[in-house]
Amino acid sequence: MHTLFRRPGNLAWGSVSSAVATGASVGILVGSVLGLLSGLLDLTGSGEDSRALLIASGVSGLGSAWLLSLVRRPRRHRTADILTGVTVAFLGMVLVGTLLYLVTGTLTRPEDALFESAAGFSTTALTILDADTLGRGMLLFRAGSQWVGGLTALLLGVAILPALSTGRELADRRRDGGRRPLAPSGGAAARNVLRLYTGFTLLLVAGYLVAGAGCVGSVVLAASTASTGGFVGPGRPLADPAVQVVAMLGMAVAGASLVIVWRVVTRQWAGIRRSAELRAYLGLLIGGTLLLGWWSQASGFDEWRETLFTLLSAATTTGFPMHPVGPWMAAAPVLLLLVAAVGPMTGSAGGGFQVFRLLGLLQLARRELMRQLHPSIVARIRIGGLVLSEASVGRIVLQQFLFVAVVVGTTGVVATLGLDLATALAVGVHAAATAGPVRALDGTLLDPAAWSRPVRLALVPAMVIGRMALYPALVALGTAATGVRDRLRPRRRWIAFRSERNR
Amino acid sequence: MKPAARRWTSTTAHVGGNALLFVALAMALSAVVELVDGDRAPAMFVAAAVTLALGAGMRRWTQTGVLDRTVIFTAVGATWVLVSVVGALPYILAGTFARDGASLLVVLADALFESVSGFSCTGSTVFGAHNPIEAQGSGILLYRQLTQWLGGMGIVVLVVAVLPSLGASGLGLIDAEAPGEGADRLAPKVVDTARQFWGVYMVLTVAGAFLFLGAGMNPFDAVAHAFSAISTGGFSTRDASLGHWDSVAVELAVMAVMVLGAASFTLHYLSYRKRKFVHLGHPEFRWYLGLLGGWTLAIATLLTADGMAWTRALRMAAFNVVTLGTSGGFGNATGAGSDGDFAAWAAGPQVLLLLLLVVGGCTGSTAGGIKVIRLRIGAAHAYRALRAMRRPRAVLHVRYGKGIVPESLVERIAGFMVVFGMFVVLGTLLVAALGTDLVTAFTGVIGALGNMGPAFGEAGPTASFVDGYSTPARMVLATLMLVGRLEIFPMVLMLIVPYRSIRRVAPRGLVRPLRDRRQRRSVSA
Repeated sequence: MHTLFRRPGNLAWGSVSSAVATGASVGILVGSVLGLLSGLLDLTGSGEDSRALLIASGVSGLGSAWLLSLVRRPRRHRTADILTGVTVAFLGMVLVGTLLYLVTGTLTRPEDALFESAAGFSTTALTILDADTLGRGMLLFRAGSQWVGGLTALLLGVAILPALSTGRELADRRRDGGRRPLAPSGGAAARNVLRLYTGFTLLLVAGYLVAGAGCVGSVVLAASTASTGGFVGPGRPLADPAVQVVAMLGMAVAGASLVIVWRVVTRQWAGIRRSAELRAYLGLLIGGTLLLGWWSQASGFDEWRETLFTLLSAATTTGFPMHPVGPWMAAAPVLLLLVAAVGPMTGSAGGGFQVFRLLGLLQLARRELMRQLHPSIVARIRIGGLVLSEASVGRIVLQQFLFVAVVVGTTGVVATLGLDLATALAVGVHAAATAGPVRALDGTLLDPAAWSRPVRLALVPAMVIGRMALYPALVALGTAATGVRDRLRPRRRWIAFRSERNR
Repeated sequence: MKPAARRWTSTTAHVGGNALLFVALAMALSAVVELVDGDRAPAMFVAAAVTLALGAGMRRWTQTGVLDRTVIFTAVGATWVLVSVVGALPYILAGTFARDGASLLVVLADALFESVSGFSCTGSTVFGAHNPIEAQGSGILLYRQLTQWLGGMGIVVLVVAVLPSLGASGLGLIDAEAPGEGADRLAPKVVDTARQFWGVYMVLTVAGAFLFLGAGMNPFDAVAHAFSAISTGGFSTRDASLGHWDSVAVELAVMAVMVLGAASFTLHYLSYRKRKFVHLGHPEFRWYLGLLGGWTLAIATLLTADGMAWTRALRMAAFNVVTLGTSGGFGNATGAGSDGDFAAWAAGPQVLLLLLLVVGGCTGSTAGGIKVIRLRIGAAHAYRALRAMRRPRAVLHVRYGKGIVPESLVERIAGFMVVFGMFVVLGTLLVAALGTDLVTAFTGVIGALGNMGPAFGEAGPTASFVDGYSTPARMVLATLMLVGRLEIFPMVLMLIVPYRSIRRVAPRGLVRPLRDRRQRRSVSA
């Protein structure tokens, strides 16, 4: 780490220190730019937060830019170090958000600010803020943090991870048969993702404006919908059926894979028809809605519409709040919990385990059953015609294990800190899946502000790990642990201590 | 009937018939005991006679054919179902579960549930305040305990000899390919292996009975609890289970027997043969003890933080960790809300206990759950995958003890855990759909699949499963108990052979796969 403060010379930095420094400076820079924009937009309103936003963002932005200028990159970065850098960038954004919540006085305690910032950037719709009391600047910063978080997830899933050979075969890279792939290379993927995401957001803004959500409300809702973030602006905009319809369409598209959206935009219909994951996703939405309607005793068009809204909000891990339409049967919260845990399609901004991986697990289970009967069988796992390599299958199993481990760990910690078992279980799943507000067994929404601060703090790691697609954050943790171990060198110190004593 | 079809039906019936003979013996013995202080002896004798006739008839008029994997799966699965169904006869004929307001269907369902819970060594019960255990005659109570003891005997052979020889669920490969003293095929023939393990089982049962007698139980209770402790079943002859005695000595004695029951019977046999305690040399057993010890300390600490005295917290934690960690299922609660009632504990200790519901005991034992070794290898596999991301060119292995675990075994274990997880998810949704709240449904399903016994929520250690679950939900749980007891695959695959037979003999055009029809149409076009 001492190289960080070395004057720039001819030697490149080590892979890990370069990745960490780059990640931190990029993350802080992005957060600062968001803060600056929010500060400027706050001037169009009451302007009470603008000075704090502009000064704090300006200072942090300048600092990060200076740090970025110091970094001298090696010839190439290792995969693990890139993932570490991306995770550090995400944490950098969260830290900037924490700072801005504190300096504007929106939140007075650091742990509350950290929670709110993490919930924003991780697109988990858990908030302790009352949107009606927020100034325009902080409202837009909050929504913007979710938009940036969604973009991070898309870039990670569509551009970064496939470029690092993790999930390469699942990326849309092939050009054969006249196809126009979404991700022919890392750079092209990033550009296409940005274009699609921004275009989709602007469409949503227009849709919400037409539905009557107001200017600021439309921007906030559009950013939350596109990112599957779930933050709602002031007033109760989702009480309006027209706004609900736009939100439902937006959530359904946001939960679809960006590859599917790309194929729609580029009119490659054959690819859409062949997608087994899309069929499974739509089946989940339709089947889930029917079951939820039955178990919540929905009747009439309005109640069924709200049922569909609730199901979409959970299945896409958006987390827009909607109160239960009627008395919930015992299975309704279980269904919503499962649907949130599964989440939307891979390659979307949503969290959760994701539909493609679920299909992979189902195929794996089927193969295992076949192997019981025919031990020597050679059976490949196919999803919609795509043959998965054993490495990809192994990664799916790893993700399942990690997801369950994060849920169980988070559940255990928050249960120990005072939540009851049912709430702890739901909170653990929602945090890991970045799914948003937690429901009690009768369907009523629980307020995170009623939980203790230690409970809320305990959710921060789960939200960050869940947003970072699980294993990148854990790889970063491993890198950090290895770094600490190498610095401390406990084994060598113990051996040296013992030999000193024996002398 | 064609020879192929006759082969699997004959084999299945022959194996089932053999099993029913043991069950008939247990019924007869219980009927004799019922003569002492109960009034259901005639009904039990009738049940024994019917079972004997059925078993003898099936054995007499059938024979075992050439065995292949599918036939073995069918035979094993069908036998357990048959034994569970026929095993409910004494309860039905004796009217054990008949009560005011309960229809005939509910009474039959309760009898079946109790029978399945017995033979699968789960220990969940439909007895409760509405129908106390202690109101039953000694014969019924003894029969109940014997169902678990017989179930344990069957499991010992199944998981130590039959399933490993098929490599089912990855069990066989563990011992066939991993180094160390884990070889379960101690004799060339399955029958010889079974005899040796039954010998160990009998010895441990007798030793357990004497231990319980010395701890303060009366002879009947000592013998009865020895049956359910060594089989890690959990049935008790008392309504409050071990809470009836509220004795440290009794709890320690039962804990010792449960730990032995949940350890590999191979190790017990090897210890006997070598005249020394070889258990600590086995990695899985060390992990298992470490898990129990670590969990005890963690839960005791949390209970102390909640206001319980340290020594009492240690006692409650130790007992409940062992009873759930071994899938024993006994309780030491003296009443609802007492210190031993873990359903009334804070959520933190409950979550730790919930994890134990999943883990279970060691392979080659009577315990349920995923098993320590699978969890250990699964965790090592996940850790290896994470390390591989940091070192993509490294050749990394999953290690167990001093050896390397073959990749095929790692894949099988991963597949098993995936299937187990799917059953948990679907089972929870189904049980919840039948009117159960989230916590009760989730823990009930895990408890059923892991053959643990008690659940949380409405079906805790002081409650009855009648309180927590509707009748259809209890039937779902009973099915899951059998699925979990047979390590999932035999129960799932037992229908393969009958399905193939139906396809073979069905009239042409009646049961033809849709794909064949389409192919024929496209060819003719």
